Amino acid sequence: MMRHVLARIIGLIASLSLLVTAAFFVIRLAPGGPFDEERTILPQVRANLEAAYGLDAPLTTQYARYVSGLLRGDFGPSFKHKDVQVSELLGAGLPVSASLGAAALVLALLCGVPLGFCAALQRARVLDHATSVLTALMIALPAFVLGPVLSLVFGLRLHWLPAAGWNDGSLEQAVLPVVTLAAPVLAYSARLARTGLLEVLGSDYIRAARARGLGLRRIVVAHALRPALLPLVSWLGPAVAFVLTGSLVVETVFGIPGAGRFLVEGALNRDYTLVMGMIVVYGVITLLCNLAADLAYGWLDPRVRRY
Amino acid sequence: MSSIPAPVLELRDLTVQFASREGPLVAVAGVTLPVRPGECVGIVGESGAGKSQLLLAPFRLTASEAQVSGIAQLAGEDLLALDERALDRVRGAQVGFVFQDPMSSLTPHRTIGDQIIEVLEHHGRARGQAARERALALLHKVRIDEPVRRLGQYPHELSGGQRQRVLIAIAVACDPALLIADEPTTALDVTVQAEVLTLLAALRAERSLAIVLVSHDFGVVSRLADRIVVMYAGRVVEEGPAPAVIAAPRHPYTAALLDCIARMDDSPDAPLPPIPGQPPEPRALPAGCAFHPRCSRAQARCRSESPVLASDGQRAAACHFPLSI
Amino acid sequence: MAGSILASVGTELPRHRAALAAAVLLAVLCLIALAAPALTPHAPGTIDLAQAGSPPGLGAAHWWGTDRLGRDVFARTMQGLRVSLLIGFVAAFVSVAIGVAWGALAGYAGGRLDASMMRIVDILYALPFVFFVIILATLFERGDVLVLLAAIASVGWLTTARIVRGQTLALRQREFIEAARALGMPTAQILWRHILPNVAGPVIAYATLTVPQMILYESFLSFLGLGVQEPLASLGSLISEGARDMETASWLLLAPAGCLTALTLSLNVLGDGLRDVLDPRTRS
Repeated sequence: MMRHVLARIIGLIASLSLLVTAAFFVIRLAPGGPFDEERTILPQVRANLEAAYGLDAPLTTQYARYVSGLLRGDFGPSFKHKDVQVSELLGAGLPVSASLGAAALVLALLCGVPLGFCAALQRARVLDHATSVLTALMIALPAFVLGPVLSLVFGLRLHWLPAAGWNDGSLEQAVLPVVTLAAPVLAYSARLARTGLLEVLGSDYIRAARARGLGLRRIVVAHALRPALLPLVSWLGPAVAFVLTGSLVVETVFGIPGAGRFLVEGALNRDYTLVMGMIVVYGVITLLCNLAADLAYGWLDPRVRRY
Repeated sequence: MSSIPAPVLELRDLTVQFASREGPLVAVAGVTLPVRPGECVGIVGESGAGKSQLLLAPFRLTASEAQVSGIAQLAGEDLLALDERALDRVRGAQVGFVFQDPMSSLTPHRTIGDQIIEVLEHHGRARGQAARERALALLHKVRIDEPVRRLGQYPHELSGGQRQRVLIAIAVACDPALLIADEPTTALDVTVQAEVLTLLAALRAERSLAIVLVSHDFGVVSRLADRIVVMYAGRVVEEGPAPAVIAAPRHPYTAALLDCIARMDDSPDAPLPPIPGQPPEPRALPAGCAFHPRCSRAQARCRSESPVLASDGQRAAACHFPLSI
Repeated sequence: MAGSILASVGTELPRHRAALAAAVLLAVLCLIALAAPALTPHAPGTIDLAQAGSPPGLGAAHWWGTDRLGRDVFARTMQGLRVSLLIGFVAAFVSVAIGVAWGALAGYAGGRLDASMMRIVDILYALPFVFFVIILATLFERGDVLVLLAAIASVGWLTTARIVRGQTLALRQREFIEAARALGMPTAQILWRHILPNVAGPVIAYATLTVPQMILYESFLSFLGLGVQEPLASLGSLISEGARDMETASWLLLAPAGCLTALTLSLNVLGDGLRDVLDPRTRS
């Protein structure tokens, strides 16, 4: 088991290095710099600015400097907000995004998984069909549709909740964005839980367990639950990535000062360091979550564990 | 006058039907099967003969929901009238089941020990340390080596034969009066088959366990059975004491099945005669005797009139022109 | 192969009433989108400030109202629908093609080639797809539809590749593949004649589910301003505009939002139905 974990961690570091390297070189090699959008600058001034940002050194040197900076937690200064360090921006935005994302994930799983299981146990009856329809709807509604609509209905028309804003994460501000972000994850979780349980309940060993007279409750809890969770667990890595990308939209729609919004603005402004910083952070989070999901999968299925 | 002991399992005029898009599918049609305590009944027939459904349906263990009519009693208790919870108390405790594929009958992510102890605890036979000791004793009884180590192992760490023996241990853990084994050796190697059958014979002798052994393999059944029942297309076509049926079958189908088995005294070049044709689809049963299209002795009467199971007390055959004694 | 798939779809799909309804809805949407120029006298780009911001009405000059520049909402929404459909289908086709080729090759080759090819998939899976679009949007003109297509398709092939690789791995062990190899059949032929027909079922089912995914990706990008640019409209950019003005002119949000929802919903339900019919793994 330890060997397995070690191998995965090494893989993670390799992926991350590849990611950082690829991102660095491609963005650096792209035409157009942060100054292209603004008014034309005298070549002399441009040369000075480039020197100040270290853009005049050969690429490999820039790369080495950047990586050593990363390891120290220094992402460099923002190209757009020139007096601000990227790490400051990230430091301000990440906690907001993290709490939003975490709340959404927890809500989605806590509601979705039991819903999916109940639907499976009530197969082809009312609850099952209703769940099917509800989840189909939630999957088809992207955050940029659901968000504005919820904001319109509950904020602007019914006045039950604030239509936008964050206000340092007060509960009523958080409801709409968290629900918007959680909806598709909830839907997928419910579906995966449902199919997972249905598939397991149809297997031979469940029939054999019934033949031993173990009741339905015992069978579901002790024999069916763990394997039923497997499809869900293997999806959790992508689920986190999903929440990360979703947060871009949710933060934009509801005006939340999170890291996702910085990424979008950075892309629109060709702010290299900010964009790269975000990508590295997202990459790390996603890879770590994939690793955690892998390990959880291994724990759930002893056949994998023994490798 | 000796009193005949009450049967452990009483199936009378049992009919099992499944719903399908084209209407009800009759898998078992009016079969009567009493099983006495300590008796071993072997049920033989090709796939689709209804032999498994006959025994699984009264206990609601069929793959899809079946409609069962007739009489099905276990130790006098009406199985068809029991609700799911009551049936749970019967399954595993008063009747044990052993299925065909040992790998797919054990829960892959739970240890052997957990699965044995669970049955003991659930049916209230033992708890905690006592349950563990009984589990070890059971493993020992079914001749599993290193029982202590095995308790902590997972199913995939055991061989096929060992898994089947564990399943037998689980099936008899609560000392049921009846064991139903549905093709218990089909998925095993020949040498392992012999071990499993020997084990079943030993258990039967020790505990006066009644066994119903379902198989398509006459050879397997003949090792263990006191009585043989041959089924075809959902009906019983022959039954009688095992040695008698094997030595002198009355129904042409039984004879044909026996002919398929290679014997020691056969010449190595002699071809094994297969039975021509296929077993009929339940939806498309031939008129008259269901076997007549494949029977070398079929006559006009066979094509129009369905034969009745005629018994002489010991043996019975459903044929208009049974083979001579 | 194609014949049997069509046959099974033709007989079994009608039994899924939801999928059938979805197919009908989808057909209607496509028809209306394509026929829109004939259905309305207004062109999507015509600015008419005098009529700006008028609400929808059945008898009104503009059925679905106008936006802040006086452009007809129905015409613009239909244009957006056409753009979204085009990008969605083309990107889905391309990404499925790439995914099938990649997955079949990796699964069939096995060993180190398989491991490295799938490692690439894993790495790419870990990257947020926005990254690719950012790069491409930075390298090329933002709003270039081809760039957008390439960016979206470049992410969508990953899951297809995984599915096809899994299926190919399983098929590779089967006896008929060994037989073909023993007969000396070249690899390309084995892939084309034996492997691909057998993965066609799940691939087609999955491909139908890829289309709404692609449409959603494109809308997502256009919503954020990284996708389709003015004067061209896609449902995503229209929703973004609508969200801005929704307090006073909620129809500007609801029209494109409703279209997008109907589109993705019908595609998802249809895809689910096809998957039930064509993918043997999901048969209950």
